[in-house]
Amino acid sequence: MEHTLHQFLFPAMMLFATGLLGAMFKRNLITIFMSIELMLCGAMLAFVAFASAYNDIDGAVFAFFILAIAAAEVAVGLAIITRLFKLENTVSTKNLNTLGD
Amino acid sequence: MEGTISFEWASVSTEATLAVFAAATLALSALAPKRGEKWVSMFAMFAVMAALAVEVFVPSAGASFGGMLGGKSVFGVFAIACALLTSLMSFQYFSKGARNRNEFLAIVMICTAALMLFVRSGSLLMAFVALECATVCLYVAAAWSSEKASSMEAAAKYLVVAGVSGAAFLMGTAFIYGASLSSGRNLLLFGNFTSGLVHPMFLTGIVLVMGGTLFKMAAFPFQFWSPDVYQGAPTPVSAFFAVASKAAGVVFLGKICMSLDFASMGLSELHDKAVAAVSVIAAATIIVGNLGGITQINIKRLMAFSGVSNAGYMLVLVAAVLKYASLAEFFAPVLYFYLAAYMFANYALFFVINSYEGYDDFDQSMSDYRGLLRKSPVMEGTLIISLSSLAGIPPTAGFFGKVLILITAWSAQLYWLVGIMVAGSVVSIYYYFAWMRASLDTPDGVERKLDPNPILYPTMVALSVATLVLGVAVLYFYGI
Repeated sequence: MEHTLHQFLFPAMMLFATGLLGAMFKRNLITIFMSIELMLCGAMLAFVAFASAYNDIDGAVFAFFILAIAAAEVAVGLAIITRLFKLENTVSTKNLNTLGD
Repeated sequence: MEGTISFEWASVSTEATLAVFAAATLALSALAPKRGEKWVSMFAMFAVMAALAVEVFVPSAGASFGGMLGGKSVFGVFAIACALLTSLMSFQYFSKGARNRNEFLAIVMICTAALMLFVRSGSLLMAFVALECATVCLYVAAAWSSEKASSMEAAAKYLVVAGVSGAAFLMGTAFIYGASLSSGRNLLLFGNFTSGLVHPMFLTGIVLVMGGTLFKMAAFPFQFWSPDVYQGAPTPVSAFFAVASKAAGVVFLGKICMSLDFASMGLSELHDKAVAAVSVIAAATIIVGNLGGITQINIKRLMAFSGVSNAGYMLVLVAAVLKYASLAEFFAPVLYFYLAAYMFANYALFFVINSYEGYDDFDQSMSDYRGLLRKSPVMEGTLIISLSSLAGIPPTAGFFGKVLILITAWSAQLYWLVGIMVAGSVVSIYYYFAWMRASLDTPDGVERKLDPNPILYPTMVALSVATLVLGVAVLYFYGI
């Protein structure tokens, strides 16, 4: 049991770490947004791994909640990014400098 | 993790009222003709009042839904008051040219309900769902003026930062879920937190969850988003960010800290480390917020730095109750008094900011306030009273709020933190009074024009009077 749990937890951590690094260091808003989704996927995989290793249904159910929330976030987020592209003609965080001192 | 779940719908009556009326407002604004817009807005305002009545008069049912939700707290009334003030402010904002007023009111109502559920949650799963619901509403609200680059940029920045913090919160929840499976107790419930302290996986998880909450309340080291977002977001939304969203984070963090009883597990070393960590974060938040505020001449950014330092002052209280569990009974009264003072002053200032012409106010600076005394004495009075309250000048409510936090921190023997808080308050006087001084200068004719809305004068006066009355009421209450 423990063995299979770690087989799934390790990729979950890697997904989360990859997403975090991408969100921190990438400049393209779409890429950053994908990285955030990757972090959510990592957390979701961890939930499902725990749930299946210990035969508990709660984690699997919670994965559905995360899916629904991620979908809402994607819908709003993509709308914001496309609108931003229409206004500023860029999705690079380097060129977003309307705000500031 | 078994157990029966009973559905006590009465315990979510306020949130349900808000959600149902928000849906009704959306439907009405889609169906009603253009000239009926005003009536739909009246309907939405009535709905928020109805929710306030339900919150006050329907008795709290205590824990419900199998421990997923706790009982009602003062936060419900606080959040609805914020929703009311934001809605009032939005009427003026939308009269300046922004569109879709009624949909905005619906979003504010849903966000308020979600924040209330977040604060009441008894389990981390409930907390995550409510938190994300509120966050998605805030994305939409921050992006409301979609023809303004500043608003969209603020929304995009909030999207990235809140997305990362939400994912960190979720990962923390996953860890705690794993710990609860391996230990056989449902550690996701706040009531069981203490027994999880011996699990390394639980500790990792709780650190991630607290990190996600620090993002929400704009505390160091996650405060960097708030100046940009407050600056670009529509002014009523900035006010909501600064008060309701920040307060929810502080109350939630305090709830976590009060659920961790280190002493009963005999973990005094870990306890010391936790207290040190929270104290250092509080001190750093105060320092960063006040240093950022000193050089600031952009008004909305100044409000953001003021919000960061206020988050620091409230974290001092959290550190105190984490250190001595015996102080926990003072947490709610002191925090809600401070929050009430903070809400009156902050909303009054955002009302003043919103009274200037044009809704593209992200570049409003201190020099725009020159000659305010001659142009509008009511606004000048509001500005002086509210800034004094934020700076902590007696006899305003803000002064007594700070004193109560200082007394609590002193009883917790966090003397160095008391010193930093006093020093921070002294520094903050510099930038609050710079704004006040600018408003007393003679005008040079190049300032923004005022676009005052007479309906809003009563609100400003009421908020200023509340700031003063709350301060004097404390004196009376303690018989001084």
